[in-house]
Amino acid sequence: MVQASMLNEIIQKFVTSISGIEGAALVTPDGLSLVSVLPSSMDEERTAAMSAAILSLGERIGQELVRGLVARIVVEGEKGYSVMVSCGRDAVLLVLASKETKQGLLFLEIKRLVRELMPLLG
Amino acid sequence: MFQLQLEEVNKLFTITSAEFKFEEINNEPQVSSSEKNFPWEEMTGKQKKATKISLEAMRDYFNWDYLKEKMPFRNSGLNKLVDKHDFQLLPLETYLWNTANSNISLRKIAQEKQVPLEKIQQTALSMIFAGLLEEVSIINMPMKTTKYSIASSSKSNFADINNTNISNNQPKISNSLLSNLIAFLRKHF
Amino acid sequence: MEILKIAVTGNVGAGKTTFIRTISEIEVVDTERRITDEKIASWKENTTVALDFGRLTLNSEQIVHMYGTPGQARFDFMWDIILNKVHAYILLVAVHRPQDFRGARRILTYINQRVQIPMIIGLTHTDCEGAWQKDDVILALGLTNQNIDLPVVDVNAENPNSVAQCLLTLLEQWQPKPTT
Repeated sequence: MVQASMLNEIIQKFVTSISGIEGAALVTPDGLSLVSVLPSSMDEERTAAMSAAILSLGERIGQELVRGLVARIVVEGEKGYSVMVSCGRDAVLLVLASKETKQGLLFLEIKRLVRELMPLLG
Repeated sequence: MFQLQLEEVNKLFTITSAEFKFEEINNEPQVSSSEKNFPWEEMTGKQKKATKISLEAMRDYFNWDYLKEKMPFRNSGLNKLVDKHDFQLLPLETYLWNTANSNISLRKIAQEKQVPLEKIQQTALSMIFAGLLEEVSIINMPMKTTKYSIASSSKSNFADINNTNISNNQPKISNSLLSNLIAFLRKHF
Repeated sequence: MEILKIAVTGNVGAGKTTFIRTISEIEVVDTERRITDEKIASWKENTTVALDFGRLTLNSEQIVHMYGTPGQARFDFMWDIILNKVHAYILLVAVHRPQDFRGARRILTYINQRVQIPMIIGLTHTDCEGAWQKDDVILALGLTNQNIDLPVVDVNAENPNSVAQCLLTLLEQWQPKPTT
C-alpha cells in the first residue's frame, strides 16, 4: 500500500487534534486494516472486518432500495457514533466519536479527512 | 544416552521441509528387510511419549516463521482437550492451561500477562500440537439475540442489549414445510 | 408465514456463495468484495464480507432462506449473527485445500459449542487435484471422536442437482424419509 506512514500521520493528527474523536481506522473493502488509531480495548483486526461488513451491507441496501450511492453509515449508540465512509475504491474509513460531538461538524471533518486521504490512496 | 538421542530428535524440529516415508513394521518372527536396519544396539529400552517430546522440542524451536500459517488466531480462545495431564509445564504453559475453557482470547491473555502476543500464540500452538489444548472461536459480543424495546414505552431509544432472549430460540419448523421442501427439491432438481 | 433458515458456512473458497447462487430463485444478495490479501488473491478474486442471501419460495406461506457466512476468520462475528438465527447449517469443506481443515474444524467446534441444530458437512472440490479422500477428511476434521452421526456428503456447488441432494440429506436430519 502506498505511503502508509503518511496515511498514519494524517489519521493520527485527525484523532488527536479534533475534540470528541476517539479513534479512526482505514481498512480495505475486504476488511483488512491499513492504518488504525483505536482505543486499546478494541482489536484492529476485528474492527476492520466489521467496518467492511457493515459498509458492504449499507451499499447493498442503497442499491436494492434505490437510495443511490451511500454517503456514509452511522451507528449511533448511547455512548457515541461509529461512522463508516467509503474512501475511494480501495479503502473504507471508520471514525469513532463521542456522544457530545456535534453531528454536522463531525461529518464535515470526516469529509475533509477523506479529501486529504484520497490522493494518497491513488 | 537416551537424553542424547532425544537431543538429536529435538533437532529434527528445526527442519523446515521434509518428506516422510512410512514403513510397515512386521510383527512376524522373521525379520523384515526394514527391521534389519534398526539400530538394535543403540536402543536403550526407555520410552517417552511423542507429544511430550514435541512440546519440549518446540520450546527451543527457532523457526516460528515457518509455522505462521498454523498459529492460533489472536481472537481465538483455548479449550482443554484432556481433563488431566502428566506434562511438566513451564510457567506460561501452566497459565494457558489454567485459563483454558474460560473464553479468554489470546490477545487478552497477552495484555493481562504483559507478554508479547506472538509468544502466547507460539506457546499455545506447541500445547495444541501436544494434544493438550484446542483452539476455539470466542466472540466478545453478546451471544444472545437482541430484543428491541419499543421506543415509546421505554426510557431509552436504544436497543437494550441486556434484555435478551436465549440464543437460537427459533420457532420449530413444521413437518408440512419440511415435506413441501423435500417435494420441491425432488421435483425441480 | 413460515420461514426455514439455513446457514451455509465454511472456509474461504469452499463454495458457499456458489452453493447459494446455484439453488436460489432470486439473484443472490451478495456482499462480495475484491480480495486484497495477496495470498488469497492469487487463487480467488472476490470474497464475501458480510453475508450472502438466497431464497426458495415453496408456496404463499412457506419460504426457505439461505444465509452464507464470510469465510475468513476475521469475520467470525458474522457467524454469531447468522448461526444463532438459523434452524440448520451446512459446513462446506474444500477437500483439495488441506491447509484449511484446521479452519473448518474451528468453525465446527464453534458451532457445536453454541447450538444444537441439524447440520451436514458438504465436501466440495472433490474432483480437484490434491483432493483428499472422504475418510481422511473425516479424520482430519476430528469427526471420529465426536459427532459420529454427522452426515458427510460430496457436493458440487455449481450443480443444482448436487446442491438439492445435499439439502435433502440435511432434511433427513429432521425426520425419517417420507415413503415415496
